[in-house]
Amino acid sequence: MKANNIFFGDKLRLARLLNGLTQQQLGESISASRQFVHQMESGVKQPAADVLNALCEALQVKDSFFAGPVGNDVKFEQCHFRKRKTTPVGIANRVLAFSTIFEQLVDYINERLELPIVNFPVIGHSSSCYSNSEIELAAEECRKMWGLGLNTPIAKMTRVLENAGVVITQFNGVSEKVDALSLNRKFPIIVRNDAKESVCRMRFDLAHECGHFVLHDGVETGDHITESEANKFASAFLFPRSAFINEFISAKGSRLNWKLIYKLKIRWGMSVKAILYRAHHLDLISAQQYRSGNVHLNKTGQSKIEEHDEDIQPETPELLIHALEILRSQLGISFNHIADYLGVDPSMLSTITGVIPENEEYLENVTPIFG
Amino acid sequence: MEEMPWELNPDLTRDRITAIASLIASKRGEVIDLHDEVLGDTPRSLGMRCYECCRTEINQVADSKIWPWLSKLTPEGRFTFCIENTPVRFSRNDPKDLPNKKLVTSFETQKQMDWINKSYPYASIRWFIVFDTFFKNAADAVYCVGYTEMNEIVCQWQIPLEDKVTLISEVNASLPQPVNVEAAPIKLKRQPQQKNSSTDES
Repeated sequence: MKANNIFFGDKLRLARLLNGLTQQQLGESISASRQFVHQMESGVKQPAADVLNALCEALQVKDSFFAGPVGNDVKFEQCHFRKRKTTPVGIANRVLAFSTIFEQLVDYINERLELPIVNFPVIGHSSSCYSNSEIELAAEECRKMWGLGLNTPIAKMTRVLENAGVVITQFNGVSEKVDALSLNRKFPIIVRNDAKESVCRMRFDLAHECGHFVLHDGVETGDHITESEANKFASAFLFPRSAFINEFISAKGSRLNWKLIYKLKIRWGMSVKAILYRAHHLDLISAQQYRSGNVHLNKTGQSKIEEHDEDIQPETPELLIHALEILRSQLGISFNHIADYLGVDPSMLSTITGVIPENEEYLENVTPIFG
Repeated sequence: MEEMPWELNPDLTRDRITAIASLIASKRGEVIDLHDEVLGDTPRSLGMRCYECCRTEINQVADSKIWPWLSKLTPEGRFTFCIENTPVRFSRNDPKDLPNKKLVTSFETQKQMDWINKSYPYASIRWFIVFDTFFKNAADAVYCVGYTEMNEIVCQWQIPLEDKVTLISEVNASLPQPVNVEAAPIKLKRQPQQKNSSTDES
């Protein structure tokens, strides 16, 4: 950046949060004081050329990153965020910064490619919360709209949502506290934590976020009521009531039929914990059975990773990878070019997208056609 | 056993029981939102916090007189509130396994029950709002339960805090194979055509 270029302090804040640093930590890494970092972020002071270089290196961005305003700052209340009340501010801010940059990337892709049209049912609803029946109907409406039927397991949850226009990405290393979040501004986006090892949990997370898109557009979420609604939606969407009655009914009895429950888990790609939740919600098992089932899972070390998790087909987001591939192969826009456009290092873009580019070097000399 | 609480005790109307159970369930939900295992929270801390916050909430509502039928009887210790004149306690447990110590009444409750003993034939019943729920859930099932002096259940009514989902199913439905959705389609945006001057001239 030339000395006469404008330096936008809010971009410095964004880059700092993206890297999960406090002002103190950033100051230490560039040999400056916390106060000076604060003044740069507030726009009171501009960095000298050597400080700017240090900032770029410490924050994995290019100097062009600071040359424009943020423009699309994602706000906390715009995100559907579980465990909102106990998520430390630093972690929440980092995830929001991540979402802000990711949204810019989707915007860039959307300018060049035709992404699937956003297609969610509109649920007319006026009161502040939903009844169980309304949630059930909303999930069934979604299934009907997307041609999934009401008796069929979903092989790939990621594909279902990507076909409905959702862009999904995964991140790792931020915190186990944030399992997944979603935002529905310009585009519906789901950011999920890669640290989760269970495919079932990931599928449930995606259905949960889908529930927020359908039920909570414009509603601030994160409390036990809205999260419970999204959970009910997720279980109804993954395993509709009509199918559940048909297939779970033989498990009914004084004792839980674990063999059948695990069989259902493998067939429907839904965790045992979620199946028990669903069975209790539909009044097919008693509160005592539900409680003892959960206690059993806890005692047998299955509270996070369950038996037969490995029997569920793993899923990864495809839309984003496919889009980056088309940009590269058909428009000659390489991963590095996109990183340049966003003003971040390719390594940072890789963190944001979860994509590790292959054979990018040879493209460095190619000039993009529509970049 | 099938008699409803309000049939055994006219103070315990359906609306009042539901209102107080909803209040406790809502407060439990708020506390669970704040449960933080990373910070060091445990099932025990969650249970204690839920109990204390619910107790405070009931005391505050009783003080506010929003519900004229609600009052405090034993605000500390063996916390007991009154619905009209009937002492009631709350607990998270399996109604069948409520610990004996929980069933011991407070001094004020005993006095109150002695006083109302002359009014109702079932005045010796000790009433509880019981949350039969997994510790991390607000309310899986909530009951209004009446216990005799011998600690036997004489009434157990499940309080309907949420609507029940109607169960519908296709008759003789087979087990269809999982639906496999194709990958989402993406294509290049059509670029705006540039005006070709030579074509125009011709």
